[in-house]
Amino acid sequence: MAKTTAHHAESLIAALRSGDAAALETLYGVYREDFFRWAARRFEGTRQDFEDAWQDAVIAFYQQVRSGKIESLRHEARVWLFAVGYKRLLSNHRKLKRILWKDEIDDALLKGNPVGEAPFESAPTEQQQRLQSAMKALSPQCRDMLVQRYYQEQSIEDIRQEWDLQNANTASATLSRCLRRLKEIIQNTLNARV
Amino acid sequence: MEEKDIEQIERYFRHALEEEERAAFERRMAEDAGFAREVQLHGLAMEAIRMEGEALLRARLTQKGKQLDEQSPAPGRRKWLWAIPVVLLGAFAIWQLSRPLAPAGPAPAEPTPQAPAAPPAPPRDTLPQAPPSKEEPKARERTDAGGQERELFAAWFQPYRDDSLEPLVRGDGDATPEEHFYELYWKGQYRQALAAFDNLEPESKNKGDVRFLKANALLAVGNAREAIPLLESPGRTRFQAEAEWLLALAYLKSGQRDKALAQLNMVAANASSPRREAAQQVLKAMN
Repeated sequence: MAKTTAHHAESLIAALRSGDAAALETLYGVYREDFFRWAARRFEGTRQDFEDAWQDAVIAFYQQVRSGKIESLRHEARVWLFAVGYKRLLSNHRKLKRILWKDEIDDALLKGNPVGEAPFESAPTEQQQRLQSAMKALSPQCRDMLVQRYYQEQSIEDIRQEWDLQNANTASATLSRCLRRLKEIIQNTLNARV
Repeated sequence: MEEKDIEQIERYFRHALEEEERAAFERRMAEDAGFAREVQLHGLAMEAIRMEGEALLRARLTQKGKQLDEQSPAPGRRKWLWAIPVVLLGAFAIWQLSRPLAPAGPAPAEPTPQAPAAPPAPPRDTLPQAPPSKEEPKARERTDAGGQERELFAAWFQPYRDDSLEPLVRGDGDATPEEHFYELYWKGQYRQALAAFDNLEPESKNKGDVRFLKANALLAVGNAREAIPLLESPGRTRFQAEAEWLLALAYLKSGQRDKALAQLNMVAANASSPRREAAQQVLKAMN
C-alpha cells in the first residue's frame, strides 16, 4: 500500500512538473467532493468556503511542485491537500466543529505539520493590486504569452507552435517586447506613486 | 540594459546562477543603483505574471468545478431535486380542486387558479400564445443595421491591435507579402491591407491569424457581410476569443440582431473570455 501510494504521488508530481494541466484538473476533481464532506464535518462553512479552500490547496500544491519545493511526499497527495485546505479554513476563521471521528489526516495534523509553512497568501497588498492592474493593461496576447513562458515555463518552441509564429526568434522577440511593455507600465505606476 | 544582463537577471530569478556568479550579481546590485532598479522591476514583473497565472488557473478550476457539479449534483442538492416534482404536483392538485365542478351559468371570464405562486392572470399568461407582433422579428433581420445596432457597433468596434502585431524592423531587404499585409494593418491602412491580402499566397491566406486581421480590416471599412464568414470559421488562431467577440459586433453591424444576441450571450457566459465584461455591457444596452 505504501509503495502504491509513493508511486502514485511520484507520477503525479512528475506529471505536474512537466506542465500536464490535465493532471492538475484530475487531481482537483477526484478528491473534491471528499474534501467537501471531510471539511463539512470539521468546520461550519458554506460550500463556497470549502470550494475556495480546495482551490487554494490544489493551486498551492501545483506551485510548490513546479518550484521544486515539493519533490516527494511522505503521505498521499490527498493528505497534503486536505491538510492545506484545513489550514486555509482555520486561517479564514471558519468555526471548528467537534470531530466525531478522526482519520489519517487528523492523525497527520496532530503528529506534525505535513505541509510545512502555510503555502498560501492572504489578501493581495496594495502593490499586488497595482501589479494586477499592470497585467490588465497589457494586450490579452501579451498576457497569455508571458504567463505561458514565465509561469507555466513553456519552451520558446512550444510557444512558437501554439501562436503559429514564424520562428523561434520571432517568438523570443515578441516575448521580449511584451515583457518590456509590462515593465514600462509597472515603472509608470511606481513613478506615479512618488 | 544589455541583452546578456537581461538574460542574467532572468537566470537569477530562476535560481539558476552558480554560487560565484550569484555573489557577483548581488555585489553589482549593491554597487549599481540602475542595475538594482532593473532587477527590482524584473522581480515585480515576475510577480505580476505569477498572480495572473494563478488567476487563470483558478478560473479554470472553477469552470471544472461547475462541470463536475452539473454532472453529479451535490448530495444536498439532490434533496431539492426530489422536492420539485412534489411541489409541482401539490400545486396542480390544489389548482384542480379549486376549480368549479360544473359550469353554472356563464363561464367565468378569468379563471383564477389558487396556486400561491401563480398570479390571478388571464390564461394567456400561462398558455403559449403567438407573439403579439409576429412581423417584428422578421423586420429586425434587415441587411443594414437599425439605429441601436449601429450605435453599439460604433461604440464598441475597434480594429484589433496588440504589441505582438507590431512589425519587426528588418535590416535585410524587402518585406514578404505577409509582412507587408501586417505592416499595412498595423499602420491602420485597412483598404491597402485588404488589397495586400489578395496578393498573398494561398498558404498565408488560410492562416487563422491573417484571416482574423482581414476580418478586422473589412469591418473597419464597413464590410460586415464579408467579415462574417471569416469570423464564423476562423480556423486555428491565437485570436479565437477576440474573433468570437468580433463576430457578435459583425452581426450587429449587419443588422442580425438575434444572432448578435446569441453570440454576445456566449461570450458573456465564457469566464475565460477577455471580452466577457464588454459583452455583458452590450447585452445590458440591448435589453
